[in-house]
Amino acid sequence: MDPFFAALELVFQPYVLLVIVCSGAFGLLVGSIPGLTATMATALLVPVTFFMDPIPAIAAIVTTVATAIFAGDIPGALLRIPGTPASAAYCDEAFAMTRKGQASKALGVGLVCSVIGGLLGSAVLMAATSTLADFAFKFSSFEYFWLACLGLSCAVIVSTGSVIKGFASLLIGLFISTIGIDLMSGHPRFTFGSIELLGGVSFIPAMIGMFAISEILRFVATADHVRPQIPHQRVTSVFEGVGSVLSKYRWNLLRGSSLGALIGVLPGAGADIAAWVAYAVSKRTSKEKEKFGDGHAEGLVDASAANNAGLSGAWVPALVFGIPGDSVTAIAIGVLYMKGMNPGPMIFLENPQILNAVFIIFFVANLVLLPLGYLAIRLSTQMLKIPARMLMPAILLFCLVGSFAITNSVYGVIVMLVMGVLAFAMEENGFPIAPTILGIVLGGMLEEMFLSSMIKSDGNFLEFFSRPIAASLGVLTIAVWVYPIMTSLKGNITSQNRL
Amino acid sequence: MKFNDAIIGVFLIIFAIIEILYARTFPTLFGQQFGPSEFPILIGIGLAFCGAVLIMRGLRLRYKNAIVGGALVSVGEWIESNAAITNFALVLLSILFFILAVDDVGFVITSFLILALLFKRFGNSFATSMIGAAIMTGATKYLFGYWLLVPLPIGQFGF
Repeated sequence: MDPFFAALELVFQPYVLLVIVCSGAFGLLVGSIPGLTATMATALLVPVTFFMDPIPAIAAIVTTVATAIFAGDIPGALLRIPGTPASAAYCDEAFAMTRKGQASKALGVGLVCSVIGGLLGSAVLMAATSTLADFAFKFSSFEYFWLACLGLSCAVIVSTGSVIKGFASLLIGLFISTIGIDLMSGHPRFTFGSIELLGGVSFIPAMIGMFAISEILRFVATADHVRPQIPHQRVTSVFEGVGSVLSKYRWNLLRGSSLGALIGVLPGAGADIAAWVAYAVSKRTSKEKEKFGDGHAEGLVDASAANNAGLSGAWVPALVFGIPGDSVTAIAIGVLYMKGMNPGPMIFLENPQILNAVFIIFFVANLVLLPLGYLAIRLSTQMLKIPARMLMPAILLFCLVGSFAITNSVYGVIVMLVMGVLAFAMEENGFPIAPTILGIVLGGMLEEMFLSSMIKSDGNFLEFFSRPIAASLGVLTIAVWVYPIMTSLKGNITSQNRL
Repeated sequence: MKFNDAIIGVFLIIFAIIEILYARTFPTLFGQQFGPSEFPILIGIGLAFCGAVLIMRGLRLRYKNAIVGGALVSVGEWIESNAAITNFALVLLSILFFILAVDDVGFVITSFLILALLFKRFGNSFATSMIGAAIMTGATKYLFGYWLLVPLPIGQFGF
């Protein structure tokens, strides 16, 4: 059977569709609660996907994230508190529209643009992966080594805060990935006699700790536990006036979606950065710059399309090379490995129907977002009334059971606790945690490719530059590191000359 | 709790030295000059480099500006609130309690106690806390224990 039709058959099953609807509702709920991120929603969902077949598991992750990213707009527009970091870029703009009595319009524009952005991003994902897969077949361990280095370098460079802390954060992740038995020599490393550590630091409990436990700790440490004031504004005719906005800013919609998908492809730069860049581009190129910040829908169109398009873009390097584009795809790659589906070019030959199913899921998830998002907007005032004091203990229990379920022992809970405290301490001191996650996920692959290449080249590091693609990737990686250093040195010299 | 970059730098360097020394005890691959120690050593060197840069940055900040960022250790606003410290400690102790007690006491009792305590502590009424804890425990037990077939510990009481 044609892989596409086989994929359709895999996706359009009552069970998978039910999973899509349920995870869509879950994503909307988590995304609309300030402080709970889309990544946290994914981390909480993974223990449940652990018990599913690959297709419903991927469907659950994709749908949850797509809906959570949109849902972040709801508290952003109504309370001026972004539900997820991806909505932060245009939160003020949306809230300004609410103050002008246009809450329905702000949310309606956000919803439709998110759906269109998501669909265009899915089309980019489909086209780009097929093209890049042919290219990826030419890769040997040298190219994979440099590609992983390039991905990790980009993740550090674009991470929030200082580059040196981002680099340290990445190294911490890489160190964690070395714990356990070394697959090449069979020698245990940093296990200190623990049998459970021989298998390495369990990935999913680590994710739950870093994204959920650290968030709970931050909540109890900083929240003032005051219930937010929800504006007395009826959010009813959601789609009224949306058509005229979209017609006026149709090129913004296209530009935001394309920009989002492209930024999403860059490792480490996810939906958050896509939204910020798209909003900034929109403001810079607008003919009505002065209206920005005063409840102008133009920036909203660009940015809300960009963050949903960015989600699909992040899956391009994940599927083709096994290199995640952001934290969510890092978790998704972990799930794919657990399901025996090793991402990389071979998936195009070995599992074309599953690959097609992933593409179809992206389209379905974004289409489902329209009715579910509409429902969420209508119920928004009720959803925002759910008190965090009831939610946080419930989330904690879910984390405990989820981590326990992965290892069937308290070992998973211990990993979760340690990683949660580590992530909290790191964020308190300005260390971004996304590079750590990418380091944990990619560390094994990076080391394997490094040692394979070393064996092939008999320890001669110059061989790493002997193949054209490897050499190009190597030079690009070095350039990624050298360029900011040179710029910084140049800036220092210029300022000293001025003095 | 926020540490000056110099303190974090010192910690990273100490960690890197210990890590490198320990990694050097790993054997090499058969017939090769390298092995499982290579990658951890490279990581250690990277961490030591980050540590050195952070020390320089931290000290420069400390001497350049004795008021802003000059302190070696500064505490966040939340440390000054007793309620926040208690809540923070309670969450960590709840997780520790789960780790230590769940195998002996069983999942149902352990999670009920944790939930009831946290619900009450976070400002819910006694009745809401008890009912909420009972419902959440039951729902989680059903979802994971019966539906997903996770062998949640039953402890000495059998549930």
